[in-house]
Amino acid sequence: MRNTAAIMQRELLSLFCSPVAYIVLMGFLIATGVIAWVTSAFEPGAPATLRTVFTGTMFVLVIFVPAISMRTISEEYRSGTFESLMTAPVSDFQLVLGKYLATMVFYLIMIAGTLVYPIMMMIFGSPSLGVAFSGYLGLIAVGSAFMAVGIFASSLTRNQIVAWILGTIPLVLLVLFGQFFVQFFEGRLRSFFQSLNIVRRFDQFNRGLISSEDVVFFLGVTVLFLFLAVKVVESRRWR
Amino acid sequence: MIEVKNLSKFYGHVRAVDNISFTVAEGDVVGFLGPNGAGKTTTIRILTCYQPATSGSATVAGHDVFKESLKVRTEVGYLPENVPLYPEMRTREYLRFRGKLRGLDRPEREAAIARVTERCWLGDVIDRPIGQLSKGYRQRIGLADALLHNPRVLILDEPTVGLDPAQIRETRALIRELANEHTVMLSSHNLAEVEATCRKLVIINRGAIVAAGTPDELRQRITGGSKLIAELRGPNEQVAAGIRELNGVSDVHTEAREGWTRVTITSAKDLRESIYTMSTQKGWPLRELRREVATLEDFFVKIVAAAREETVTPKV
Amino acid sequence: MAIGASQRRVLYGLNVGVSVVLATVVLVLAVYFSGRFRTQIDMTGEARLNSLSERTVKLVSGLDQNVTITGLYAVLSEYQNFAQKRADRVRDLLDLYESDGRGKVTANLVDPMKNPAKLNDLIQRLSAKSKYAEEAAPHKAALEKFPALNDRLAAMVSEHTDRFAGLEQTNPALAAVREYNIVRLNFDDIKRRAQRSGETIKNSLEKVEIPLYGRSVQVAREHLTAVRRTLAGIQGWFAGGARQVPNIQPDALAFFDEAGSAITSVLEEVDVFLNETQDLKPVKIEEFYDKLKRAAGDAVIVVEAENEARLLSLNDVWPFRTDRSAPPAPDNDPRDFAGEQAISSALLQLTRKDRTAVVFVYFGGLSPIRSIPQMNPMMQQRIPPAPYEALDALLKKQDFLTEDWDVKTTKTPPVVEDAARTIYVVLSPQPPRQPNAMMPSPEGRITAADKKLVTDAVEASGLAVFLAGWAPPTSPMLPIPGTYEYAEYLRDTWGVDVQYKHLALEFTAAENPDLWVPAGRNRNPVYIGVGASGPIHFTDHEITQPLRGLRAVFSTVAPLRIVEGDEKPANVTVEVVAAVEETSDVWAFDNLQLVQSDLAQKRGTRPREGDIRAPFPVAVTATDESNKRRVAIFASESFAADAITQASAFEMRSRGLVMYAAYPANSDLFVNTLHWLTGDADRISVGPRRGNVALLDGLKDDWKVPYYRGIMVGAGPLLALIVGGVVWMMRRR
Repeated sequence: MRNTAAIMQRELLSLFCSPVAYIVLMGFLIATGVIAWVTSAFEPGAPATLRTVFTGTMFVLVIFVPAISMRTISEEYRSGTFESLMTAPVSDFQLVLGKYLATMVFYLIMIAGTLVYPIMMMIFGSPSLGVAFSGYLGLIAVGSAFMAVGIFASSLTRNQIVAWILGTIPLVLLVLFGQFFVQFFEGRLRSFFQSLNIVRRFDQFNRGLISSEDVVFFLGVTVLFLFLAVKVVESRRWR
Repeated sequence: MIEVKNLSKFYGHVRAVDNISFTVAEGDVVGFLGPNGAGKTTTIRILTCYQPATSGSATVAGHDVFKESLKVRTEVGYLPENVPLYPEMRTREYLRFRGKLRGLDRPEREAAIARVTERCWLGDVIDRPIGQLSKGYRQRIGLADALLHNPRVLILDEPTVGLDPAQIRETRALIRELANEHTVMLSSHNLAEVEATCRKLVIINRGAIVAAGTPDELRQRITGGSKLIAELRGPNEQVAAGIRELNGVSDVHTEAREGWTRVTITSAKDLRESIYTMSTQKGWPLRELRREVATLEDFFVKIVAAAREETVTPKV
Repeated sequence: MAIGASQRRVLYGLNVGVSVVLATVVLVLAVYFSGRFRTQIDMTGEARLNSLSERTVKLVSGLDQNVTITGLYAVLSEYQNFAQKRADRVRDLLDLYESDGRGKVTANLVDPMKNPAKLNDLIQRLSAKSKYAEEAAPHKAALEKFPALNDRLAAMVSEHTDRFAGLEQTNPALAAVREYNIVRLNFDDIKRRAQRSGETIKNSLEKVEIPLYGRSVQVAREHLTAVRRTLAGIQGWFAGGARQVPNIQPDALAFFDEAGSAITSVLEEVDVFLNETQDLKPVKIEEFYDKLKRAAGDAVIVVEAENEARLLSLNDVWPFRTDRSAPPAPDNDPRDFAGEQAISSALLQLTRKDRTAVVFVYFGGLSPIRSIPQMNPMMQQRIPPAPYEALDALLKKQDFLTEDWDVKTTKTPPVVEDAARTIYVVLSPQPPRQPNAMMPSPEGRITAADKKLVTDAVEASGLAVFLAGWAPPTSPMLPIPGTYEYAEYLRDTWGVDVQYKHLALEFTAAENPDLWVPAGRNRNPVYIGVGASGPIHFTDHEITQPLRGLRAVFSTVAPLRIVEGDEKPANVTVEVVAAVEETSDVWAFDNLQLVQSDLAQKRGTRPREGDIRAPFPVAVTATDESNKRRVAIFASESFAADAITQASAFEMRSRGLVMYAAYPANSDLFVNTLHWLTGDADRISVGPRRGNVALLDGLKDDWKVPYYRGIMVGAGPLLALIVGGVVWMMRRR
């Protein structure tokens, strides 16, 4: 536990000391801001809802979340600090979990930057706070799953850029094709693809529906990919 | 404290470590000596549980490195070869982080940081970002990190590489000092360093142990007895015959030189006194009498040279 | 045991492989089961926009066939005020259906303007459904004869037209005859029409996505009917008037004879065709086709089962707001979203096998549910609609089979085909007064034998709704009280005493203290309201649970009394559905004239000895445990009559005059009662959902907006930049 916390703290310190973090933060907020602008979410008389902004935000996350997670493990490989880390009494699980928690804290801060939209909406209207809450919950759930995929990708390579690409590709596939494939199928196959359809699952949160199925899905994906990352890190010990 | 049995490590088909065995007893200071690429770092990485061995086994502080990796890692303080550090962190932050990983709680941790800061002369740089520090300081931070939890076993991979002569001297002194409290195993490609700091030596070349023991033992084994060189003015054959009669002489080689006879004697014993006595008795004036001792340096250089040829030749 | 590296790799690799597979399987199972046993929280609060009602969930999760729901909602541009909102809401709803359908439901929202191919697929899919595939066969067969007939007609007409010129030369007088010229024109016209109809039919059979046989038959019939009328006229003139033309020559007479017989023979064929096609109904699939083609303007939802489909129009899915008590929609949308009700009803109709017959039992007079068809449009007298006609339509929409039974004329209960059970809705034998005074007033009391017919039928089916209530005096002049004929039966068999001699009214304080006057100056005083608008409240009964908050009204109420003690029939449980709450403002009196004279003379009245004071039940259900019979008894005869359920009220709002249903809960109460009787309490209807779309109405469209927007977009990145810069500066030293 202490080890996890220590790794998380250190990772956060490194994250916040590096200019990349602030570039990602700025880029993300500019992207969501542009979405808010382009979708006219903030027009006189427009519905006081964040739904369109959040839907766009999810696509932005496909790019930005792997950018947060790309350095976590591959940077340790590259700089060699992985050696001093793994020869200290730290388990692979603690390492991965610490990295995950640190990037999630960063992610939460990033998401918190968008709170300015609901706040502005509350000033000029009365948006449903319940729906906003579940929308944020959805962003966190999606971000968590994406982050786990990103960390898994980071555990595969010592090159950050490669890690980013490896993290983005499955997310792009999942987000675009999950939605795309569904149209061509019916019955069981369709419900299978629907269950992989992240856009739809996120949309459930986004419109104010917190369903156990979606929560379990995103949590499950998070756990699965963190587990895979642990296995990859661990494989060094027996390969 | 460290027990290595038939340890081998292959990288693909490249044999990095080939069936080596050695032990390091508690309180020993062992130098792991070998030219670059001899397999020192690989062995050390296996001992610190960073890599698995291809075959064989190793225990550190009584724990198997493969099966009880976590226990081994708590017992060992390790200074990796290139001292990987996080450049964006400050020294104190780094040591705190490492202290937490070592399971030290806050007061223990602060005390330990104060201790190693003093020991490794880090006072000046304790609040500076690591990225801005020189190689010497980084080396010392690595050492401080290895010492932080007061481990029973210290494994130092090339601890003086990249340091200036003064720092090297200080570091060696520090290691000698540490030897009183810890079991130390250090690797080096520098014989002088090992001779200066270690009580025991393991020489490794091309993955195999070439020799192991105390420096004296090794010298003994390398030379296999001493050589005496004497120059006497006397008839060649008589001198040779006279010397052969002496007790303990195993081989005599004579050489005539402008009336003088130069004799090279191989023997297990020190025969200088007997030769002097013989020269006075026989009335052969003695111009030179010297005992030639083989150094480890010669031996080591030979190994290194051989290794270099080995590695160079195939490329040509 | 020492193991080699390769063995170790295999061992650990397998281990990892197996554990990864296991983890994936666990994840899949977890997602699957969390879907099966889903719990969800709807953060939209009271509106519950994201939750299907229990009955829908039950219906959808228990489907026995695959169902496809396609929403065709076009969003043309922003000037269509609510198009985007409606499309979004429907998409969300369809998502809910799909996720609750567990693979049985495929739901899509399609923009027919952007995706015409999908629309076409849908049309093809519909026309392949077994219910519609053979539907047009008779039309097709009839149409096969049409081209020949049409050709013959054209040939006959043109042949005779050609001879008109010659005729005029020999008979110059003809050119001056008006009728003759009309005939000529008509012949030309028929020729043109024949050609045009032929082309129209050809086009609608060949040049569209599906051959429109029904439409073509209609075109052919219209064409031939018109031709028939014209030709018959011409024929008549040939036979009569034409012969009176002065100076008429024999060749003309011969022509008239010949043409007349040619017309006769063509008309014979035309009649054959018209007779054959007379009973052909419009083809359902073509109806669908028309509506789908218009889907760009008038959004529809298509619900398809394996063999059948239903089309839901914009009005079905987005009915106009009727509930006055609700606040106006923030975006001023005049329509409410009733998508779930519409889709679920359609699904029910498509998938339900056992349907319920609802038989309205009356005694003499006109049918309560069917108007007399307007036999002759020339008859100027308006025939009033039947009192339950709208309710009948609603029940049919809810998939009930409806029938009426006049006990006075028919001595056996009607047998409804396809019905798994029958609910008798027993009206008071004194039928509702016909609004039209000209109609004969029903006469005569129901005989004991006829009453027994009814009660036997009720006993046999075990399901009935009794519409009881105050029985008005038989004569307006004399205080001879009426009777509620089933009172005795209900009391003895079901333990519910209808105190039909008493009329319950709501009173309010008169100017004179201690006196009351009937409440509701503007309202009908015999109405007693439910909920906030009146002293009647709904209990927690399954029937009324979903209706709370909606307005309802009971008219001409007679108090009910639940029989207790020894007289209580065994095994019967009586539950109250609605009751007048405890208030001093409501009581029921049995002497109308006394009250009337009080009001006239003293300008107020007061409860008397023998009056029945509130509280008392006004609607109850009774269940006979021993043989599973259930009845519902309402103490208001006309509460479900169209006069009340369809009553609308107007109100001035900022955007103008708004019309709404005055008592929206009345018909729901009736329908829910039927569902409760059949044991389908879970299918009790839900009201329309209201999305309380909050708007940014505080934001005024002025010069400040770009600044606000700038803050929204710029504040975050700027903050990140500043913090980043500060941290960077701090970390350098």
